[in-house]
Amino acid sequence: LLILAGVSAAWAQADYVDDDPRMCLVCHGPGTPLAADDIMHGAHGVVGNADSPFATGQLGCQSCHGPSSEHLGMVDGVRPLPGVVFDQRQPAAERDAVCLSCHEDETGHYWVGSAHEFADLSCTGCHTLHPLADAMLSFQQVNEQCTDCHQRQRAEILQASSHPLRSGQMTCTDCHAPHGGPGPAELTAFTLNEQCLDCHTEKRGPFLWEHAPVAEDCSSCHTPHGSPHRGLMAARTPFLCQQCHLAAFHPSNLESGAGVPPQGASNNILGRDCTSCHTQVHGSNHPSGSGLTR
Amino acid sequence: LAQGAGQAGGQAANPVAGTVSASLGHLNDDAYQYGNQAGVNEQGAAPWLALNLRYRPAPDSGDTAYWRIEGERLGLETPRFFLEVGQQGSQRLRVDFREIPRYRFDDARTPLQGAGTAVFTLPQNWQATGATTAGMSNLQESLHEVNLWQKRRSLELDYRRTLGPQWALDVDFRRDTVQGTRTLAGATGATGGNVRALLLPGPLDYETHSAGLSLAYLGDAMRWTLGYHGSFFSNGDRSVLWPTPFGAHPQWGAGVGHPDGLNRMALEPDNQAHQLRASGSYTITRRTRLYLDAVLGRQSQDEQFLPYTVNSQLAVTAALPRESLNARVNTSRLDLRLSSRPLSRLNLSTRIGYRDRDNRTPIAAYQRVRGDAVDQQAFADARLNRPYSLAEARASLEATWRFSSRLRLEAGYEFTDTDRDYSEVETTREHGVRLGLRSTQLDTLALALSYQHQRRRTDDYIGNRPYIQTHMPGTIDAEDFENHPLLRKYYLSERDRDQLRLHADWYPLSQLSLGAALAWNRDDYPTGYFGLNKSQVLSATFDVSYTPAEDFSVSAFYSRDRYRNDQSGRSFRGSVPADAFNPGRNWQVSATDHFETVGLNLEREQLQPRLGDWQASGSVDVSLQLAHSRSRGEIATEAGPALTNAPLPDLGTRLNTATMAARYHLSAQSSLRFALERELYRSSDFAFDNVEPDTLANVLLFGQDSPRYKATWVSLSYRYQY
Repeated sequence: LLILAGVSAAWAQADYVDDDPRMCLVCHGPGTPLAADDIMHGAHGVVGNADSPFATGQLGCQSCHGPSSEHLGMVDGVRPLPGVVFDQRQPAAERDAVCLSCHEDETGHYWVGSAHEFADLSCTGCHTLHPLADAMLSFQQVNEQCTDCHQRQRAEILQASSHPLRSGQMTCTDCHAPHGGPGPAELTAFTLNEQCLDCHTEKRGPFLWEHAPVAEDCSSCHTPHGSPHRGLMAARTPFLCQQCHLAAFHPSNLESGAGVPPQGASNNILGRDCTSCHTQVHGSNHPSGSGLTR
Repeated sequence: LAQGAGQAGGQAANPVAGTVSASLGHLNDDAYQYGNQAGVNEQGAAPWLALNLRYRPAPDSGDTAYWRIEGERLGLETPRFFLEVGQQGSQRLRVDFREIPRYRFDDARTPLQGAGTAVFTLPQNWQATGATTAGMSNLQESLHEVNLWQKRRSLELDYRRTLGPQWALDVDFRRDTVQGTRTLAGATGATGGNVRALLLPGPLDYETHSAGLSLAYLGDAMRWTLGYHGSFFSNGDRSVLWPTPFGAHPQWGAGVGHPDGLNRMALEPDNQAHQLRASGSYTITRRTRLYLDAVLGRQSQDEQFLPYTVNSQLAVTAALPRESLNARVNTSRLDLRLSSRPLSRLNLSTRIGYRDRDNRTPIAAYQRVRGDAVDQQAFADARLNRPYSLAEARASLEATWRFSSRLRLEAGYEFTDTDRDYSEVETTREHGVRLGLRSTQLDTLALALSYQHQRRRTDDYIGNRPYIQTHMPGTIDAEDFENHPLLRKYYLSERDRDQLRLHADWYPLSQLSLGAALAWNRDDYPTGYFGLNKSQVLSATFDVSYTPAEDFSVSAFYSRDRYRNDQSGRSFRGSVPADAFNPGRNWQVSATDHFETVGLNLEREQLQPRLGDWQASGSVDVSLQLAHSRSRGEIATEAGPALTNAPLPDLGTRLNTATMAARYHLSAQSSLRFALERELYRSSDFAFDNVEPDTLANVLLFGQDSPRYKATWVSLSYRYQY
């Protein structure tokens, strides 16, 4: 039953405080400068769950903080730390081993080798346990938590075209699995296209007339977090289209200021440029729609 | 211990904790696109509720039941509601509901009647005397404004139950609907410059149901999960029907122009996707674990085809080759991952993977009626559909060597082999190496540096392969081409990619942190070809955070990015064969997007307002949030002497947001919050600005301007805290 069994062989020999949490709360109880008692009112304090750190037979605070009897005294005028502290003073892998001893099922299958694990980002780098509310569990706060580190994405979601992340209507975790995922960039789906098509199901087809890069990789044309171009396009049309389409007449035309009023008016650069005709750019199911206009 | 917990810290706690807020806001003016974020875009007042409540049983109760509710903007256009209820350690149910609007334009103009529906009509007095917009003599009096918008509603249920010490069952269900009015483009005609088009305010009526079921075994040495996921999309509209607004074009068939001509477009067909998923892991030794993922899937659609044309005046002699497509794509994926720590300082992760998109859709010859405007093509001119398939094999090795707990070296190698059919290139192979260093040698400084190089090589690029394969056998010569022979599509082309990353965090004081991140990416494509030649991204981000006290924090960031694409082409006319070989018709485009973003966040809590001898009985929390984001797009064009060239205006967007808020605590439980938000958005885009519906001769546009708005949103909220 002991949560930490197996976390560290050395701990089995070590000295635990007997009267945990009462003894701990002498210094960390309500109203004290280092109060930590809120954890008992949160998810970790549900003692009816036999796996709770504070359930009968468990070790209370030391279920996570490890054997801490030395922490009760002073050594050379300094109070030794508890067995485990959840900050930089303890290697991330050791801290995480404590959490994973109970939560490995929830972190899932992909934690080991994931981007966050590889970067030594520990569980407590994102999750806060002692306060009643964990920002990672709040759709209003999770994006802020992610963009605290992913600052380039924080800037991108302020672009003119973006997914609705600013307002929390979408969260980073709608697409990405912070504990590791099966897809690239820790996506929750197995491929990028599967991720996009999970919401944009109308573009899944299969269509009679497919557009090859659409079937292969949405990021050939789109960028996920933010763009100054409509529809999260990775570059401005018609130039983006002309990176792959250079046929006779209008696809190969140079589109320049000569096609913009007052100098001129080109079908291929004003309005919706290429998609003013080729509106079914993701695929068409019309028998006459091979040019993706039907 | 449980008793101790209850006695020491649990008895006084309320099992229900959290907040409930009721708010009233006022928007000073109509601001259409502001509603995307705020959930309100019409001038006036709007009330809403917010909840954040959780229940945990009293520590000494022995109960494990709990629930958690989070609700925001309930009553506005952007509500979100989340509920989790369960018994800890045994089962839980999550319910997530949200509405996501997208307000695009409220100033689009069209003469069409029936916006947002599947059938459009023109005004009864519509006049079109020629095949250009100039011949639409009563266009101006026929124009009326339409709103282009959509709203997604999503409801998700996820139930998980522990079936025993090592077994768990998960069931989930989701329903998404998307409704609104979107931009479609309706073209008539297709050859030799006879195409005419107009923008349509088309319908959006999507519905998707998805469901999943999985069973997990969570043993000590071995874990596995088996699951099924299904997704079913249905479109409320099968097609869009619209009248031709242009007068007859001499190259069109009889009766195609106004007033008799009709057009029909197929909308996205209903479709299904199914997946069987298996994943597992096995602990081989204490330091080595093997992971497996296997997925088998199928995507299909079999909606009945529309006829070749809706215009009965056009000659159609050959029937459709099939009643419906019976499209089917089989997908498979297999990934194996071995994670090991053979030495205390060494971590290894090896992956091999395979994915396959096997498109089994039948191929047939379709004798098209191009653009509902001309008689049906002859059999020799028919087009063959291309069911694209793709197979990708991957292998990678990642290693980390720890010199010490504060310094480590990372290295990696990856290889990808991709095979495609119906493509210019059948096989691409990419090798990549990565080297990185992470250091916390100094207590106050964390550094991460990495460099990655990828090299993609391909087999022969045969540019006219798709052209030949989509035409009837024998009708296209081996030397014929559609795209210029010197074009190399960037996603199929050989490429050298370099990426450099630097990230530093400095903590000079315990209350102060400063961070910097630099990123540089560069893709180089072969010289001497058309298409994308080079792309480069440069990004720099700086941030500072200062927390002098628990109730006082300031943070700020600045970000600057530059994206640049260099591409080239040659303008050629099919009617002048020499054009394709004339370097004087070459052109180059260099498009650069500059982004700049600045943000500031200040929070100060527990202020005690006083004025002279008077002091407020409650405390005040204040906050200030500022964000400024702007982009500038520069498109530089160069052209050979045979072409006409002129500079393009810059593109631009600018967003300024400022939110000031003050919360006055009336008591320990209740507080009042006053907030003032001011948001300004401006954009300039030569494709829209000063472009009227009839600016183009051959395309009838919406004539809307680039979005811009100014919004001032004032709100007063009462919050009760449990």
